[in-house]
Amino acid sequence: MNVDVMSRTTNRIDLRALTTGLIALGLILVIAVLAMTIGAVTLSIGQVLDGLAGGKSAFIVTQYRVPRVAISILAGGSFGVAGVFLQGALRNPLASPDVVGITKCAGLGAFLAGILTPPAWAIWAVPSGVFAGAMIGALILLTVGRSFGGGIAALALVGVALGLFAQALMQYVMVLFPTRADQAMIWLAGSVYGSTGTKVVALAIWLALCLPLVIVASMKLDAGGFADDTLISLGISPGLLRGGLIIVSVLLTAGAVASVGSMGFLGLLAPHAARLMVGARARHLVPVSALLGALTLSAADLVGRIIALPNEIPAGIVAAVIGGPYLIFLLIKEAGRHE
Amino acid sequence: MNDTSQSRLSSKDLTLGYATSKILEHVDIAIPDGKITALIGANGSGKSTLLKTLGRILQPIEGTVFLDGKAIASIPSRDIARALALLPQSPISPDGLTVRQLCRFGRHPHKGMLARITRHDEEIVEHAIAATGLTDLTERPLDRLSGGQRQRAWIAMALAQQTPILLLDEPTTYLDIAHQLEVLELLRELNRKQGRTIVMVVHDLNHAAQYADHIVAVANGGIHAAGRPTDLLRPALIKIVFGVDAMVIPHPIDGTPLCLPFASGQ
Amino acid sequence: MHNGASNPLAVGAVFLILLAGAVVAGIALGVSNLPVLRALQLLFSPDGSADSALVWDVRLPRVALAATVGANLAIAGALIQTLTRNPLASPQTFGINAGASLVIVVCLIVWPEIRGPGMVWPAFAGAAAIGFAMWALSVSGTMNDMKLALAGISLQLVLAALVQAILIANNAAQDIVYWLAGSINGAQWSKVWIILPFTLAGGAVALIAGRHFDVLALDATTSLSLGQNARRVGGLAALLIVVLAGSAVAVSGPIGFIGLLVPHIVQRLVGGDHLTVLVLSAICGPLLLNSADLLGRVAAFPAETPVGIVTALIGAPTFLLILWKQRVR
Repeated sequence: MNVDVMSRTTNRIDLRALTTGLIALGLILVIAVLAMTIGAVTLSIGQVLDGLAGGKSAFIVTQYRVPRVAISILAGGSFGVAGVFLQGALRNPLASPDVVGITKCAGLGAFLAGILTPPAWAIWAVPSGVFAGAMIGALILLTVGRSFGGGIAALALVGVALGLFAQALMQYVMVLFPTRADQAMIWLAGSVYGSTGTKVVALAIWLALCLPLVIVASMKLDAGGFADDTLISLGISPGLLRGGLIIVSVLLTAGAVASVGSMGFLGLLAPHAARLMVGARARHLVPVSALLGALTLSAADLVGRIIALPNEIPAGIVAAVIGGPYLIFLLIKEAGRHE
Repeated sequence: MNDTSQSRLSSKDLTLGYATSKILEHVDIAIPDGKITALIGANGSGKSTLLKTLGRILQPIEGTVFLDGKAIASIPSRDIARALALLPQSPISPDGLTVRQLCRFGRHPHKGMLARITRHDEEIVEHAIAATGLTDLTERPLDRLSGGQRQRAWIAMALAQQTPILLLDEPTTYLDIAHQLEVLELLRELNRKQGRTIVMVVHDLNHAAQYADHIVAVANGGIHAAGRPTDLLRPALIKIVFGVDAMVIPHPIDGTPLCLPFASGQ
Repeated sequence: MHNGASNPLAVGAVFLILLAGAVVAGIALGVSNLPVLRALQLLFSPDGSADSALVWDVRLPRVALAATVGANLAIAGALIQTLTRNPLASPQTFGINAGASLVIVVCLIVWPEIRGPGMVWPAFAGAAAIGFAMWALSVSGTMNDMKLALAGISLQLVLAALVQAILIANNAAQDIVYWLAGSINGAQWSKVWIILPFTLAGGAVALIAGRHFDVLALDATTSLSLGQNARRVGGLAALLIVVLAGSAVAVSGPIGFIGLLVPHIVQRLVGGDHLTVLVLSAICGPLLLNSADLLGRVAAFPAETPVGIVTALIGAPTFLLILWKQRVR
């Protein structure tokens, strides 16, 4: 009898998660199609398909629009999953790679790499800088956080201080090298503009390499919701669990930041919305967060492209404009939660 | 009789607390196997700290906790988790977890890194849920349980862990009298029927007297006394441990010591 | 708990001497250095020379602006830490500075003609809105000190991202550092005249009402049962915070960390009641901001580092130190 009850409930939850996921997937497809057709040159769906097949509009479709759509989806999904892991590790719905300073450190790394190496190296130097910045940031976060007793709120605030410091350092470097400041600012705000096929392939390979870690992290994510004493009693090392989740989150963030710049609010927004829709269990939460992240970023990019024609507004800015009110909503909800 | 009994969990010369302020010093304790042991003491006496140290949640400043004769710090955490489970005073769980999902975590120490829950695990989980009387609430999220039910759900998780030793930090706090007794009865049943060793921090002296086989009184920075409730619970001891005068009479129903504290002076 | 609490008068005197030193250095040092004696001489008897103009039209307004802004932020910080009973509170960590900054930037883009004194009103509006939101969060009682600070900082990050977004969308990326980090480069007397009335009035009210603020240190129930009107005192403190922080942001952008650190420095040195902390913060704030500005002039010489960047570079590690102390306590 119990097994029946279990399977019934499990199925029901599965159904809801499945529906949510399918709807999100459908919306992503719709937006992808729109993004392929709308732009400086409007194409019909037929023309897009023709272009994909190598026809008349092949250049604009394959060189410009497809990479842009693909990178929005991949990077958005990465931010979403990175946010889930970080929120799980810190047991805090307000945590995101942005809030705990990881994206700022990644940005600082990219900026320094871009300035200190010859321009010709930029293709390799900037992603390496992003990766180094994010990893160093995460290591500082974990080491300092640990010396603070590893308390979760303390860890988050250490991250905040780290982010503020990295940001100030970046601004200081901008003062030292004022000529580079303008491009840097736009990149830091996050933009999908100028995505190339190479970038898509690079990000896809990176994410494929991360995939096994993402799967392991997803399996362990639920346990992150216990307090440390319970984890120890279960024979799980809290430091290993939380540190591992943070590292996977940082790897995903680094990949995404390297391809589209800093869009930290996606990491805050997508997991939270996903949790409202399908609940907190990792097996539903992780995929739905990835889908919602991909959906938000592709939608933000589409909106940014068409809202102020002929100018483009970087997608990261659109995401921030959406993220602001959402955060306020979140705070109000948090404040109203009486236990 | 306590002296002759076996003890899998014990400590030698423990010093607990922080480098600057030591809470307990030179603690030697042996937890009798298959018995219910109650740690009693005033607020801040260090009884909870002692329990957490026995459960390796806290590290002692000096001294060693022994599990089956081995220093607990040298045993892999997962191996310890197969021998003892500790239930914190107010445990925090992941959001929206159901009773069944909570209990599945109890299987963790018995599984490999990435192994899934098997049919066998699922049976143990259901057994644990049944033992705590929660079968009808198996699929209910924890946040929709009453305080007593939630406490039993956590005990069920510890049961699914299948450890011979169970440590509980004030399992009856925040519960009303009926639920307090419900939890204590459950613990006694687990002890009597399944032979589990139970160590619990208890606030209420009379609960300790009624349910424990062995009492450890923590006071003045160390273990003041240990022994059977009937031998131990005397007015003199209560005065030393809690600083109050008390009368001790036999419980009208089961004859265990019944402590009746009263204000001195007036 | 404050071991080695010093005499407040002695600490105040030391602060004043250091402040005088920082002011003189601020007048003498820069892209073209003046000998200290010459600077002092020009300060007291301007002679119409180019050096004199440098002292009177460039360096002195800058030092004065750093002093007023520093005082405003420090007093606001001391008040907000008392009001919320949260040692991690400050106009910056609670997003109040960023709120003021955002509303000003929006107004500047919609009505470019409001430059000047008119900017204080949008600053007040933004500061008040965020201040109210944070106050509502803090009285709801569901968040501890650290969570509340985290919420405030998240809010600050979102607001800063919006400021950045608006400036980039309007091709004003060169203003970003000013509106995100704050700066007093290119200070003019006109800016000093904008903020000075608020500094004087706000500071005076804070000092006069200072002895009543002790009541805020108690929790609301206790102070109510003591018969004190905590709500009225709290309202006054909130108003002061908005006015002081808002006017500071209007003239110098959202300079961070002064409001957070100064009360801690003062408390560490003298401990003591809120009035003493307020008075000494009002001296220590100008001292700290002027010193940071001096550092900013030499850190990337000959370029000038905006003072907000300097305060963040110094402030972020110090913030960690405060966290550390919180943990130990």
